[in-house]
Amino acid sequence: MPKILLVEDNEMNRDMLSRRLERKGYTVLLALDGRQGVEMASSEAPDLILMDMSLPVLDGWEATRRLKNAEATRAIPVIALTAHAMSGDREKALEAGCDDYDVKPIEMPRLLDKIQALLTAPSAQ
Amino acid sequence: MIEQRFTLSARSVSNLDDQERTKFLAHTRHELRTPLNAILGYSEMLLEIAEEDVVLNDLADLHEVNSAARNLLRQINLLFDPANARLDSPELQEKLSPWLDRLVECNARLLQQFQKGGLTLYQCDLERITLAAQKLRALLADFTEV
Repeated sequence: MPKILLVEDNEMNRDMLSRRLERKGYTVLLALDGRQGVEMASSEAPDLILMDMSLPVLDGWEATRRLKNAEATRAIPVIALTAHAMSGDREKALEAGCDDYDVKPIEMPRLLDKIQALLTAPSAQ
Repeated sequence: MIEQRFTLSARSVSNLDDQERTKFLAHTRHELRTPLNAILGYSEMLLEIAEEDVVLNDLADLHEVNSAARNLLRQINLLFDPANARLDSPELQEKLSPWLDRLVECNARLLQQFQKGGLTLYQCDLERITLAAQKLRALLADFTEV
């Protein structure tokens, strides 16, 4: 099954979302901050990354920029997750290199559709 | 991040200029939505588990927890909209407290039901909902303090 790296600092949201994804059959790896997310993307080569944007150590925007600037990780699709839901958030995430964007609270069917679309996109093959 | 205390009350928001108010309301809405995200996620996950595995006969309280959380989210999105020029503490209490009370009450009943039914595997998820509701209440108390 596809391997998803979830980069999320909030313990409850990390536990809840990882278990919901595992129930759908995905293998989930966890990173607690942006720097760990970048390191694990490189060492674990996940099929997709769910990136919270408000992260300690290295925020999600900078972590995504680093991932997209590195040869080994630039092809991994990144979905930005944020609870801000402000106008401009989506553009800011896409400018940083995210492939898609979703807001918290998570609507699971919508997020699963986005994950599936990126995993089956020609560039992900 | 949700442990961070607010430095402004509802009353003082009206004294901020437009840019500061927009930034502050966006930040506050983010803080409030973080525990709500956990409550919604855990309640939806438990509903999926309960419906698939038939672990509970009566899902009414679980649906109520989820519904109260959705109503809280709707109200928070409206009240903390950056376009909202003035926030009023009594109005916040009036619109948010009944839903939060309802959520806590139904979750407490569910916990009892799970304990009686020996569903220990899922009790920790209800306890996490309790914890997130407590955090949400503390954040609101900070904000409405005058």
